[in-house]
Amino acid sequence: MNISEYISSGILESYVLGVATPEEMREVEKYASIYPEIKQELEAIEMAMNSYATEHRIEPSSHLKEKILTKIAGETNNTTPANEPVVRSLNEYKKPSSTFSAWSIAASFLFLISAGIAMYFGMKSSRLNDSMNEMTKANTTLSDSIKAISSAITQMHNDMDILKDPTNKMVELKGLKIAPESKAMVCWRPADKKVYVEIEKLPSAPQGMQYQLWAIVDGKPVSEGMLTAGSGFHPMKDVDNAQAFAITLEKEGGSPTPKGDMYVMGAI
Amino acid sequence: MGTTKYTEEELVTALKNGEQSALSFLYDNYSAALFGVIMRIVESQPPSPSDKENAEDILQDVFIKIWRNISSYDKSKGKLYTWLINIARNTAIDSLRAKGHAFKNKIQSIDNSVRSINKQYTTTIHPDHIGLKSLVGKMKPEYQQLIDKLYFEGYTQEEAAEELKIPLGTVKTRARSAINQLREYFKEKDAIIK
Repeated sequence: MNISEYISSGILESYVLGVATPEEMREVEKYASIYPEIKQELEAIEMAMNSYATEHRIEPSSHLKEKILTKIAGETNNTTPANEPVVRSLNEYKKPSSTFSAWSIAASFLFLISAGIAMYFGMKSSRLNDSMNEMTKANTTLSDSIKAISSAITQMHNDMDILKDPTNKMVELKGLKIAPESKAMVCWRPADKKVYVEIEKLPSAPQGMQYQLWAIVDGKPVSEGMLTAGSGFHPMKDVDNAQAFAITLEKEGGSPTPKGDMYVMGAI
Repeated sequence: MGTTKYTEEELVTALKNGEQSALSFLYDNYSAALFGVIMRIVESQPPSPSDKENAEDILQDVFIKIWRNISSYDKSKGKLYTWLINIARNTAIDSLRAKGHAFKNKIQSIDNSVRSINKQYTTTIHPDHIGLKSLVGKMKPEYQQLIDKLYFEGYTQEEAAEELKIPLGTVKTRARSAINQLREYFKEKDAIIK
């Protein structure tokens, strides 16, 4: 990338003026985390606009300070302090076991009824054996699909627990030139350092190859582990501090440093 | 009380811990700047006798928002001051928009835009804005007009291009030249103060 061209394009000014599009904002934040020259330029623009805002300063009426501080103090005493986000246990909303058992009971019940009916008729006539077998089969299918639904619900509950934490940083990893359609989401929780990744779209990895997630920490890639197939958010390695995440295609089992092509990337 | 001094980092930590004395310090040091930004936005609309009152109500909302949302401030994304100014700008624009003022995404009628340019002209040379007087002559009027539309009045670049009747590309290059002039100006000014 041509850094000086990027700087003179005016996009950094748009960013500081607050008129950049969300896409441009992500791009600027990404490049600022990678290139010190861009970060420096961004800070200089920021300082100039801050000084410009300061030039406009006007003292508000003198009684206003007490009014505002009193109002905020009253609010703080009545409600949860702003610095203590409400923390709920992960299990509070997750009731997969009860969901599952309700469905299992319903399934077993159905099964017992159908079995009972079949047996009743079976005693009367062995010709009905066939239909009993059929019903048993149907029941097994039903029970299997209930299990599948139940596990999907469990996965959704888990994803919801990950997603709803307000301290989360959701990072969209966007497809690079090699596969522009690719997309992944990383959820990083600075509070407990946990990292989760969800693949939304990636070309299927060729035989003997595997995708690997990297955290960019102070300009250096740190392995976050290998990606496995499957939907939903998958836990990866914890990371203290990261400025960006990226996914590369590596030999199966991974590489200590990124060697393969980068497919997606996103800055925090 | 009231004598505690904070560095920016200490101030953020104290605010995140919910310390009221930090809030008082924040008010003493930033309220005039934030109020100036709010007034500038309020004054970009047709004048009303309750402008100052409105601006003070907005300032109160701004401090409540700062207090409630300080936990989401992330210093890696910019200075505290930038974050505070953004809250003040957004709160002021949202509040005026809620009152039915035309902002952003609404094309102003010609009559309206003439008035707002006139209004802006008077604002620019408003004697209250002592600092700004010294800026006149440092920045080309058309540059300042553009920066003010984008920064204070919630215009998108497309809207500014349309209203100022210049191509979108010119908006971008002009914004850069304008800020370059500001940077030069503040660099000189700081050098004189130091």
